[in-house]
Amino acid sequence: MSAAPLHNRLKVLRAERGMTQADLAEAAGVSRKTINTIENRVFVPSTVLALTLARVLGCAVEEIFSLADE
Amino acid sequence: MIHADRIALLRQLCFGATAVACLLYAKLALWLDVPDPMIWWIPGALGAMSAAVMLLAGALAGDAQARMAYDALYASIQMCAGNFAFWAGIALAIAASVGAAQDLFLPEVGLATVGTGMAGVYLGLIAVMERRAGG
Repeated sequence: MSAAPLHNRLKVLRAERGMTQADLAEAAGVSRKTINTIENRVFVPSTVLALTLARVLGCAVEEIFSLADE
Repeated sequence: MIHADRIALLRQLCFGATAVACLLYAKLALWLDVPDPMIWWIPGALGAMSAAVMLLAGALAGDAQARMAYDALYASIQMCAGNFAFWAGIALAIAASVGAAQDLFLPEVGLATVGTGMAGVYLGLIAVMERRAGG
């Protein structure tokens, strides 16, 4: 069984909270480039990073990330 | 204070310069058929200098910024470059062994090419992949 591509709403959720990529990166303890590559679906984050982003944005991880076939 | 993005840029420059020196050394060694086509310590000195610069940048930036610069994306890039460089190193070693056995070049030339070539591929890939990750 091949893994479905991962979709994410990180850019939308970040913008809704009035945060820049740099703000989110600082809060999550990663580089701005990491946030940028996640938003552009170049980099798939680890579970720990996904949960950290969810905590920073104050939402469930499923609200940020979802499988493409869902 | 040095920001994480600045550390990443510095890392790209340091690794890129060291990779160019290593690959140039490997290429010249093969081309000129000598194990020391340029001053032998240049690639190593550049590598040591890169390490010193990265350590200094990390110390000046502080723990939080240094952690941000060496985050999950960098770990992923490093692992990917390492995987590719491993197989490139195996291929280089085989090519060097065959070349030396066929008297195409001296065994010392093959050794110099493999040593510097593998390091050049690894560091160069990190620099290129980080650059391509953009941001």
